[in-house]
Amino acid sequence: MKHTDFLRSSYRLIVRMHPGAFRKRFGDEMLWIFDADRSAGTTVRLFGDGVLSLLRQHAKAESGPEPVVAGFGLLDTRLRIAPRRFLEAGVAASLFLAGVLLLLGKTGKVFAGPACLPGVPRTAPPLLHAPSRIPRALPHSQIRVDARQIDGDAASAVRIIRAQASNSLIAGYCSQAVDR
Amino acid sequence: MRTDLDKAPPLSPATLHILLALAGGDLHGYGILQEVARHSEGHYKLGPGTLYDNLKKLMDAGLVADAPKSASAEDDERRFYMLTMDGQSALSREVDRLQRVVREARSRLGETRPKRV
Repeated sequence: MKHTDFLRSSYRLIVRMHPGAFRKRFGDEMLWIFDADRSAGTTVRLFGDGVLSLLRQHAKAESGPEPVVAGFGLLDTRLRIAPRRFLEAGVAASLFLAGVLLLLGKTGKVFAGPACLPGVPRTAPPLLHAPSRIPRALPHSQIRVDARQIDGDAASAVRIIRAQASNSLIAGYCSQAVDR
Repeated sequence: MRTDLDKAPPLSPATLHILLALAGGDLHGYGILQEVARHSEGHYKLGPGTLYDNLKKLMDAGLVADAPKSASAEDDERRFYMLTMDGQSALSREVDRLQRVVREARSRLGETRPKRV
């Protein structure tokens, strides 16, 4: 079975697990949108949305109609969810989602969405310029720079500071800046 | 004097975006998703599950209804949705409420803005 066929079959199964009335009314349209939107690299989001919808519909099938208002307005409804039904739907949906994520992970397409830049490794590169040991910084009172020695050139100012505080943290960072 | 309708609780973000999308004309489900992404400049994206969950609620509440198919869309099997008069009223009330919130927020931010020394 092809990879895309498996994804579509899995999503269709999630749609089929919705309550009958909802599935008959909107099931085909959900599949159409899945087919149309999948190419945009949004497969994981679509599956997550499908699973959440599945849980919501089963919860509502037990609790009755829900208002369209936001936030605390939902507290007005009598939420009577049958725990067993809710748990079954949750477990089934989680298993499906885990299977799909596993499959996508094996084929390396989970994080291949538009957010990833081409050529950028997924793992964080090592800190190239981080010193292996942080040098002790000299107290400010021990760093003295004669302003007359600075002839207006930033590089020479850095050289002077480096000479004055060769072991200090400031010198380390300044030398890195000059070397670049 | 305010009516009871003015005291209606605020709409959820998904509901507001769907009503806003349908205010521009009749759309099918995928069209609503695209319109929501467009007018929110891609910041708010609905999935099909969330869309139809909210559409069902809106249709049950009488704010959205099935739209008659136009002659050009006879072959299209997808269903189109339209805003009802109640839906337009609900959207107008929500926009008014949001305007009041924005006005209040602007006035408060103007009052509490730190003075520059």
